[in-house]
Amino acid sequence: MSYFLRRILTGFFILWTAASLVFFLMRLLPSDPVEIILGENARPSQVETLRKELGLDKPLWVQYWAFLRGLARGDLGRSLISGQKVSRIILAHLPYTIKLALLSIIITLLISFPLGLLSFLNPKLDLPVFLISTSGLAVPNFWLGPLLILLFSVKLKLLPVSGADSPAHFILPSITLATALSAYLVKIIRKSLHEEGTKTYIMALWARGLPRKRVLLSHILPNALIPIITVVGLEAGALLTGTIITERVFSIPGIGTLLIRAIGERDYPLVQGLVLFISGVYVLVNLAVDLSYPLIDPRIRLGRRLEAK
Amino acid sequence: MRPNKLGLFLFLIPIVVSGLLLLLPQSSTAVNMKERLLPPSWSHPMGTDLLGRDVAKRVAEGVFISLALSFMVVLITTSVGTALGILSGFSGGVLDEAVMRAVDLLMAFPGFLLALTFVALLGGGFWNLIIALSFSGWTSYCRLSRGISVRLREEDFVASSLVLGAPYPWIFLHHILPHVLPVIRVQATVSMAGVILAESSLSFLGLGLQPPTPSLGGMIDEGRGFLLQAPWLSLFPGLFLFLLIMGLLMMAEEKNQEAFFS
Repeated sequence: MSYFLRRILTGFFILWTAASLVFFLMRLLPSDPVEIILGENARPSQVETLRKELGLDKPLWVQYWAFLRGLARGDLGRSLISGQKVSRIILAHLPYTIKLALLSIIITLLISFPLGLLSFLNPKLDLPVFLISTSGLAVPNFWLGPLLILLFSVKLKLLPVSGADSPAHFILPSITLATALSAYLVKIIRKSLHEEGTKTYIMALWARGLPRKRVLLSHILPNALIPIITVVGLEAGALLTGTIITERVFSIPGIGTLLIRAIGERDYPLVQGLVLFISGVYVLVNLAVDLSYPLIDPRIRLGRRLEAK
Repeated sequence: MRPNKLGLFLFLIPIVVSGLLLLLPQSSTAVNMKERLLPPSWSHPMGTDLLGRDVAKRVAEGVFISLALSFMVVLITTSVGTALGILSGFSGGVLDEAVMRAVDLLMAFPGFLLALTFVALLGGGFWNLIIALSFSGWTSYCRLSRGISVRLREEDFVASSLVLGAPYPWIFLHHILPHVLPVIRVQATVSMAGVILAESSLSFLGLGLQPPTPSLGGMIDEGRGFLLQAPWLSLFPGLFLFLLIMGLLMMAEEKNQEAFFS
C-alpha cells in the first residue's frame, strides 16, 4: 500500500507547488487586475470598491489561503473579462479538446504498434521505419496542419478546412497531432522489443522451437510493455501542448484556443486556472501510469521503490 | 550513407542556403506595399509577404536567429545541468537530495507548458525566450551526469586520485567530465532540435519572437491565411525548420530522443 500512498502524496505535493508558483508569479506581475477590468480612467472610489470585492486589499498570505481553499473546492476564481467562473469556462471548452485528444491517441496506437512490431520482425524495414518516424518527429504541427489542409481540404475537397462542427472536422487535426506522437512511440516500441527480444530466456524459447507468434505476443511484448507505457505517460505532455497548437491551426474552440485568447486579453485568473488545469491533468496521467506498473508487471512489488527509466 | 552523416548534411542545407540568402540586397523588414504577395522570382527567390517584404531574406535571418537562440539555451542548460549533476552526484547528502527533488519537481510538468506560461506572463522576445526555454531544460542533463558520477565515485581510479590528494575540481575535470560528455553531447543535439521546435511553436502562437523580428514560426502563422493565394509564405519557412530539426535528430540517431518531448 505504501507505494500507492507515496505516489499519490507526491502527486498532491507537485500540484500544490504548481498552484503556489502560479499564484505568486501572478502577484509579481506589473499589471493590476483592477486596472484591466475598469480601464485606466476609473474613479478612485470605484477602484477601492472593486479592490475590496476581489479581496486584493487583504494581506498576501490571506489571499493565498483563500486561493488554496477555493482550489480544494474546485473554485478557480472568476474571469476578469466575462466575470464567469473559470471552472465553468474551462468545462465549456473541454469537450472539444477531449475529442481531439482521444481521437489522436486512438490513431497513434493504431499506427505505432503494428509499425513497431513490423520493424522489429523485419530488420530490412529498419532504415525506412527510422526515416519515416524521424521525419514524423521533425515535422512541426503548425506546418503539417496547413499542408494537410492544402492537400485534403483545398485541393481534394475531401475534408472541411477548419472548425469543430462535425466529426469530420476532427480528422485532420487528429492526424496532425498523432504524427509526432506515433513517430516517437514507434521508436520506443522497436527499441523496447529489441532489448527484451535479445535476452537469454527468449533465446531459450526460440531454441525450444516455440512458434514465432507465441514468443512475440506472450513473452516479449508483455515484458517490453513497461518502457512503452512510461512513454505513453510522457507523451501526455506532448499531447496536451500539441492540442494548443493544433487547435489554433484548425480553429477548434478547445482549451488551447482558450488559453491563447486569455493570454492575449490578459485575463490572468483564466490563464492561471488553465495552466493549473493542464498541469493537473498531466500530473494525474503520470500518476496513473506509475500506479499501473505493479498491475502490468508483477515483478514490481508494492512498496518497492521504482527507479524511473 | 549512415543516418548521422545524412543528418549533418540535412542540417547544413538550410544553414548554407540561408548564409547565401543573407547576401541578398533586400531588407528583411522594409515594408513595400507595391510588391505585396509576389510569387517567387529571380529578385525574390521565395516571393514576398503581406507587407511586401522579401521572404527569402526573412527565412534566412529566421534560421540564424533560431540557431543562435537554441545554441544559447543548450549552452546554458548543458553547463548548469552538468555542473549541478556532477556536484550533487559526487558529494551526495543534503545537496544531492535537494537538487534531485528540484529536478523531480520540474520534470513533473511538461516543459513546453512551463515555457509558455513564462513568456505569457513576462512577455516574449529573444532574451525572455532563452530564460523560459532554459528554465526546465537543464534537468535531463543533471539527471544524466549525476547518474554517471555516482557510479564513478566508487571506481578505483577516482579513489586513488583522492588518496593522492587531487583537489575536487581537478577530479571533476579529468576523471568525471570525460565520461559525462559523450552522453551529454547526444542529448544536447536532440534537445537543440527540441528548443528550435519549442521556440518556433511559441512564435507561431504569437508569444515568442515579436515582429518585426523574423521568426520561422511567426512566418508560418502569417502565411496560414494565404495558403491558396500565396503558399510560399508558409511553405519555405516550414521546409527550413523541418530540415534543421530532422538533421539534428538524425545526427543523434536512435539514442535518447526523450529530451525532445520534455
